[in-house]
Amino acid sequence: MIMISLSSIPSHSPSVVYRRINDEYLLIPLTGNIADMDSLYRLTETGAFIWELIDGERAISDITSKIVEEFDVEADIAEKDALDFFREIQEFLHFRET
Amino acid sequence: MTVDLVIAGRRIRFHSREGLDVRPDERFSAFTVAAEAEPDLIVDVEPGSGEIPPAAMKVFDAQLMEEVPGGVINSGESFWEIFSGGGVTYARVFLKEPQRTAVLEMPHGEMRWRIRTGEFAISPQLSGGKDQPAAQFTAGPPNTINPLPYPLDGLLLYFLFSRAGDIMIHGSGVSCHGRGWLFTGRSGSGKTTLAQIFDRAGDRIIHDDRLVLRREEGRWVMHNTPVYRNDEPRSAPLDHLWIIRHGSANVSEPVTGAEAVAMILANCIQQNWDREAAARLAAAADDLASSVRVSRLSFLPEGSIRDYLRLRKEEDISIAAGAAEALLNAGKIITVTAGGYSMWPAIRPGDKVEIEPIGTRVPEIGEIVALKRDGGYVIHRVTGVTAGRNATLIRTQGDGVTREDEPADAGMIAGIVGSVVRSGRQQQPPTRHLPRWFNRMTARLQCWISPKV
Repeated sequence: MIMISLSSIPSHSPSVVYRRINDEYLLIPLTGNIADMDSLYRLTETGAFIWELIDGERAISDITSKIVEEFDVEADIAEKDALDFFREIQEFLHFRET
Repeated sequence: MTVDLVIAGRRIRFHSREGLDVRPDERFSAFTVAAEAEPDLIVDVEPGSGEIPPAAMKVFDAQLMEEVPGGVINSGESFWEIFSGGGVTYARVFLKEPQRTAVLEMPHGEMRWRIRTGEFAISPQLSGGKDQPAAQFTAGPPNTINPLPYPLDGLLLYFLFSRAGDIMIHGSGVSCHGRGWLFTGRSGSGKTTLAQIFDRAGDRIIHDDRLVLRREEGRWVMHNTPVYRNDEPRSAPLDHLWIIRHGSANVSEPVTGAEAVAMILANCIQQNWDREAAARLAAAADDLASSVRVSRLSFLPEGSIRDYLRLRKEEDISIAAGAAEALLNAGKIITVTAGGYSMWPAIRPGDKVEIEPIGTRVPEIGEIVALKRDGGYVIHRVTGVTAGRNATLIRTQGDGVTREDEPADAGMIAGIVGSVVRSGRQQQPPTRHLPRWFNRMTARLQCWISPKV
């Protein structure tokens, strides 16, 4: 189990193909197997906003600051939701610590 | 010796050395054409077992699946494998009777491939080398080789179409009154059942198992591929794609955007080890979902589904529904004229029904809502609301029908009925009247839209 914290720096995994479709992203894992609906992942507009901020340089705390700037949300709620989000899609990401 | 096949509009030229006949099996007979035009792909066919360089890495491994009573089981035997290395992709298939392997070599960026069929040549001079065992067997008549033993045929077609940006998809394709419809879904979802329903009605079946979708001259066209003995080339422009499942009623709901693309991808034939191929397929599915209508379809396995789909295809109704949705999204109230009896007696045919935007509010039990359906709306009463972690499911039913609708997610609620105007008199949406003895099929409302500022 990877420990994900605000200081973690996420980057996109090379084992995922992603495609922007309107305001959303579709994540397609390169599993070496036939895809099915259970393995595909759809990011809504907010998730897509975060996905585009993932560059291998920004820590989750930096990304959270951007969320607070962009959306009408309190910092502590944004931090909690962002951490939940990163835990949920961790199979599509790599993490390193600052 | 050369043999040309044209499959889904792509020309494949099989070429063998002098004195060795290339003879695809009879599934390909109707797809064999004269070698006139330039081929899309040339395949050199040779007998003998091909070798895969040790440096090539196995990237995909398919086991033989066997049908048993009640389902399909993995036999544990190798069926085919894919290797990649040195700028070449290799497909190796395991054949029986007699046991042998055949290898397809596909250099990247080249459209000249090679097949080693696994058969040994009948005479030493055709064997491709003195180290090859000679005079062992050929699967067909002397000095002939079959370039596409099953399952090598499917793999060659997959790589050909994948590299060209086409889509291979499991499904049943039909041409009904000039409209090309494709039904796709998981195994057991009803693809063959639907093909049989349309076949019995005299419609043209493009195929009931595997189709190729190609963008040609600005539109998507579906083609069959040789699967069965009596297959012949068939194609039709594609108008509408449905992701199907058996249900308790015939219900078609539009799907758009990433959800539509995901649903298409989930039913495509694909090998998700190759990043470029996966990205290409996602792009093609995105283009398909943007160009062709995509819907989720629950259906009853009977002739009524054909009538249902034919009736809901009126273009003007669809355009009106799109305009209605835009108005609701802009916060305006719209008025539609009821056209059916499913909400009788609360709403009668001819009643003017005012639909108000619902925004992000979840409807309550007892409220009457407008559900988005292909070609318009269905106005039914909410009978249940189930809040999940990621979605809220709304259960609905017409007052005048005995069956509940398929549950809808909250996004399928276009609006909520604010009032009903009957004979010039406006009234609040009536509460339910029992008993529900008036049993009619769910009726679509014809939309005559008048925005209310």
